Amino acid sequence: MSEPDGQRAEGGSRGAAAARDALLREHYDEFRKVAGRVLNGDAAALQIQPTDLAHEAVIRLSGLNRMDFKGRTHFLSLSARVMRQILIDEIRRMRAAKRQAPPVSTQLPPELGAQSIDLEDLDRALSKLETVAPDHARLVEQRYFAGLTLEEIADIDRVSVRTVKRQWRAARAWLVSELGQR
Amino acid sequence: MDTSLTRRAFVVFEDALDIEDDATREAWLISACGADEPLLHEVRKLLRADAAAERAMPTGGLRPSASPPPKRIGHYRIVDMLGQGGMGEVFIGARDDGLFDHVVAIKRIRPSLLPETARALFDRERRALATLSHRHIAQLYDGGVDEAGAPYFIMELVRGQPIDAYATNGDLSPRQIVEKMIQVCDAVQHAHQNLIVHADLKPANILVNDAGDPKVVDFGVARILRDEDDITLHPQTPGYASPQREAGASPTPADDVFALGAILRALLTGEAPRSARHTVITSEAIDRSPAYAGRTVSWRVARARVVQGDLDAIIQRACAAAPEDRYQAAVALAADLRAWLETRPIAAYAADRLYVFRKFIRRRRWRVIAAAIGGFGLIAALIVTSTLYAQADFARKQAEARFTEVRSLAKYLLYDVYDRLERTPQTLAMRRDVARVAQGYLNQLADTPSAPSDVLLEAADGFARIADLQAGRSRASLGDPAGALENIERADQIAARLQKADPANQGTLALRARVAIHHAAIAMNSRQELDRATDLLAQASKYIAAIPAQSRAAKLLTIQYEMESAILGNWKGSYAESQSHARKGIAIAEALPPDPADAREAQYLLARIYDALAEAVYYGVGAAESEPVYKRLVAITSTYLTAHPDDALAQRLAIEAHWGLGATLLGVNRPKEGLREMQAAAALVPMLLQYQPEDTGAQRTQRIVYTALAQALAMSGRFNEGVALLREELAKNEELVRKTDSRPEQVRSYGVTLAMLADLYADNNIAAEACPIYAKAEQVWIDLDKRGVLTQLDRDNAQKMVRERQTQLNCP
Repeated sequence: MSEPDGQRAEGGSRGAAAARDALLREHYDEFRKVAGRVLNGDAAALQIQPTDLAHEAVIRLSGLNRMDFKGRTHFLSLSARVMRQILIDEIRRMRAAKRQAPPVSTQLPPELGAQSIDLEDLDRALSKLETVAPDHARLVEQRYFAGLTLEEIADIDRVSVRTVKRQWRAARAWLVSELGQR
Repeated sequence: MDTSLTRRAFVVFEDALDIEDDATREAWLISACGADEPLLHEVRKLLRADAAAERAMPTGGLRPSASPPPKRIGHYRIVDMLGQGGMGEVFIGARDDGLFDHVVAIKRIRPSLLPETARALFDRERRALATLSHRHIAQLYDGGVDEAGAPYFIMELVRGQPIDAYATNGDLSPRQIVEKMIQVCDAVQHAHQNLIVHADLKPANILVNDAGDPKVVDFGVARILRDEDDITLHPQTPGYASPQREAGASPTPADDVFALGAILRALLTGEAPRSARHTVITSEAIDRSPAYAGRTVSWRVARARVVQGDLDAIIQRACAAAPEDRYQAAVALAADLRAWLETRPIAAYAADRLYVFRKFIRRRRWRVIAAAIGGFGLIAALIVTSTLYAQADFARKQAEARFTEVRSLAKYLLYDVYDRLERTPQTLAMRRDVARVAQGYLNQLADTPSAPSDVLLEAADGFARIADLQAGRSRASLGDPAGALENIERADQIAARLQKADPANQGTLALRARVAIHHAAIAMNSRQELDRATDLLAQASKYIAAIPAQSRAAKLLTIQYEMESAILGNWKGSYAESQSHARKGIAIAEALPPDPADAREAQYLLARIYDALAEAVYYGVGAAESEPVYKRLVAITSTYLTAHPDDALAQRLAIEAHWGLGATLLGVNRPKEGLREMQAAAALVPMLLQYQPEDTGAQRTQRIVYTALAQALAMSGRFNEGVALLREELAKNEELVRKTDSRPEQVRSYGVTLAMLADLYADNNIAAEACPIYAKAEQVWIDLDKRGVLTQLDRDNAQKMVRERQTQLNCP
């Protein structure tokens, strides 16, 4: 017995949605960790808290109906972009609402110089890097906003770990000197 | 930025990484870049940044440090290593200056748990923790950062074992366990009173020394540490973490209470909890516990029977999922545990007379029966009965003693702690929490049927105080008018009940007056219920009349009454009445001898009442006549602000005074002077906002001041600057109306801002822009009128003016 085509298609997308929801549930904690790290120390300046950020990421990712993902790492790598966007949106929203909004800083990991920098500066630097070397910029996003390891990134992008390591060091060196110049 | 240069630099850089020897790399670089100097420069810059980053953290990732134990830390020689855990290592250290024999425990924290940015917090907290001194808290002596950059704590060395091992090895009975836990509760309570939360209570953090004394270790340490890979705070051990902590909330005293309950349960069942949610009550868990599998059935049944009932209920209450269902403080949990030890009624059950009676009979039954069997006869039975009565009376007294504790806590929180926080920047969340905890205490007090009248009096006073904190007009309010109304009504009910019982009691009468005045203020300011406010103030006046007029309390109440009456007069448009109230109040306030105990309150009242007078003169007589009154108000508030520059209340009063004077000067067409006052007001606003960024009152003040500043700018010939400022304010107003579900005061603000923007255009003869905005403003007043919340003040002024201006401009 064959089903009408439309119905089958709907059933198919429902299956994909269920798989996506399962991933969301599974990675909720991971989101919170990343959010906590990115907002380290300065979350109080923002209305958004790490848990809210994770929630928001889950909600926005749920909205991507046609999301095409291949397992955990790929999924997290997509969320990196979403995380970054939410944070920057949130900062802009705060700036719009408050005349004298303080800058929101994030604590960079030791490998990026362990300094405390303005999240918007980081975002600007990343956007700048995107215009020069999009692959390198995405790499930073995946590392910083999704907490992926270099090995995991190599796996998603189907390149060798050695290549990713070299790219990472280039991106890192560029960011360190770019952010240091401010 | 030269994108192609950066791109080429990346390529050369990545290849250069393959060459490890510095000299070879340098030679290769020069050949690779050729004559391209900028490229060489760019690649070298990247290589330098890379070298620095590699030193800080190799690309390979984080490697656990396997460094050997240090020889010394601080002034102490390391004698031995006690242990190693997730947080770091613990050593035994000895002070080796030969002066005295001092052996301590030194806990060295993994540096990665304490990022550079948290160091200042670490130092501050460490000092706070060192002040905690209690028999059952391991004393923190000192701390710092060692040469390798690892933070450390030096603390009292406790030679003993964790409380769970102690209970198992010593085969403690439930009674002995409860005795130990009471001591632990006392320690935790002591810390809470010093505003320090433990945040990671678990058996491993409670060591019992050789003398059998439990000592809580690592107080507050968990709060300082941040796990680099985890959400902001070091996570609490699962099973002892409350559902709120598990969800990532910041630690509170209520979470410590939860952990105490979970520890008690673990000690009684011999099993560590698997999750925060217990599906099986403790006594049943004892029977099934694998830890007791080797025991006889009768041993297990006996132990379960001891725990069954009261201890089950106590643990259930301590570990309730919702914080408001838990014991409100560790002291309350300790009190119930003591009650259990002494077989007195416990509070874990609702204050239920039937329960008390059952308990009385059940616990004593054996004595009654023994007496009967022993054949003591009637006289013996009488003796037994009277002994029981005496004991019941003792239990009642004990219960009252607990009231005193709870009562003092509520008072301490609402007055001392809250006031201290109010003067500290950015403490809104903490203040909200303090109010919440205090509310819990008060509910507990008021819900107890047998509470004596003086306790109720204080509870009612506490409710009125919370209401004032939630929606007070000029103080940094918590912005919760609905909660305020609920609390003030509750205070009123209790006060009425008390008065019924003892109609002439002075304390009750003063309370009723205070409650009625607060209630009137909330009714008129938050809800625009002017008739209700009129009734309430009339009641207040009756109560005040029954108190001796010469007492300071009566005078302060009278000033408050006159002030609120003057404000109410202004709302109603009865300016003559308002002036007479204000002048009466001012006469009393200025004759009142200063007293440091209420200096802040008295200054506040004086400024407010002058403000009301100035407004009454402005609207009732004329703008020009109000100028001297406003000048006096500016003088009063400036003096106060100079004396207390950090007091947010002083800041706000000064802002409002400058604004009032500025608006008056603009009204009499002296724009230059008006602009100066508005700028003075606007200059103080950032300070206030920085102090209380989330305070709704501060935000409202900001809007009012900026709106007026825009007007002053336009009147001084800087029209465009003014319009831009007002449009921005309008957008914010709209947002607030939406967010608060059209709360009348916000809608009113929105309408006023609309009218101001329209005025600005109209005054500059731009009717095409002004007319549609006036139409919008008029609709706002019509809508408010339909809802029955348009005040006479707005009807007579704002609404009337909007109509008149539209006619003048020949708007369509």
